[in-house]
Amino acid sequence: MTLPIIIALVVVFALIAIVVPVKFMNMFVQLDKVCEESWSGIDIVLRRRYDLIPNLVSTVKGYMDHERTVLEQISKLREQGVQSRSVGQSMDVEKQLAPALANLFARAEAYPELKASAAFTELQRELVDTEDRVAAARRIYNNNVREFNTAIAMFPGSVFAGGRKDKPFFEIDDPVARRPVTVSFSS
Amino acid sequence: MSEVRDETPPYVQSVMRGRDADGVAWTIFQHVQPNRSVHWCLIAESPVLLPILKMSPETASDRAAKSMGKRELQVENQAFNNRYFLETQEPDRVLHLLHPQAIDRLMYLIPAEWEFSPRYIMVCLDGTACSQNLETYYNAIKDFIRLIPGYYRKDFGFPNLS
Repeated sequence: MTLPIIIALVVVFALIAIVVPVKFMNMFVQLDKVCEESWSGIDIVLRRRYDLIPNLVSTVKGYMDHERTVLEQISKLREQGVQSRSVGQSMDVEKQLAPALANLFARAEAYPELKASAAFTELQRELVDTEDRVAAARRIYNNNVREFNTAIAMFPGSVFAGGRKDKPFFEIDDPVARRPVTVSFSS
Repeated sequence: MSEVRDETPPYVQSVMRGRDADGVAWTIFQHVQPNRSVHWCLIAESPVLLPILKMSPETASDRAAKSMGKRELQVENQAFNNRYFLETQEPDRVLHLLHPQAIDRLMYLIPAEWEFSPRYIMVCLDGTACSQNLETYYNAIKDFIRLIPGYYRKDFGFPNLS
């Protein structure tokens, strides 16, 4: 009677010893892939924005000849952005490019002819749209990174995490967060 | 006003339906729960396809479950994470809608039970809520809808059939 119980216990423990690590390993791989996917989500939107910038610069150039420095800075940052291949590089470029574009749109206020141009208005709308998409893609990426980092840090996942390291968050100043919140008080 | 009543809870009563000046359809009703507690619920139509999301005030048991590894959706606002427990199968789509401005707008309100479904947003308040509270939440829903990003409207907006 005792021997079958011991055998059953050994089998159960052996199964647990195999199943639990496999479950955690697969979960880490899955979370890793989700992070990669969400990073490519950011990358796609950033590249969409890089594609819009040359059009913006050529549209604006004719009207804002005095702002050549701003336009050159944006073109240079765009080049750096196109060549960036890692989260860190993209983040560095974004930290400079987003304020540079905001600066350009602020300066455009002083050029009524430019503001009246349909091409400029359309590009501005497209860029704001893309900026919102970047912000959302960044939130999604950061959420997935948080899940991954928590999974490898929290017990019992930490036991099976092996050499896995925390992934970096994509942290930039969110332009959406800067917009004021309006509250309706009557329907 | 119509009334749908059964003898034993849960049941729904005091149903009111309408459409506001912007054409948004709404429904208000009282939900009597099995323990006979009463909630006022407000449902408003959404112009875009929403992800399914349950957002409830975080309880001690939610916090305990989280510390034991229960997964919930977290946003980049710790005060909001402490206030609400978010359950969804579509976290990516929810994060398109819960952007910092929308979160700030929701933080103006006393926590309540929220449910987002593809076509509707529903909020339930406890029985002591008065019509002013309902109006406050209705305005919040309208602001939330107004704050839905343009690209999301383009991607998930319903065609205007009128």
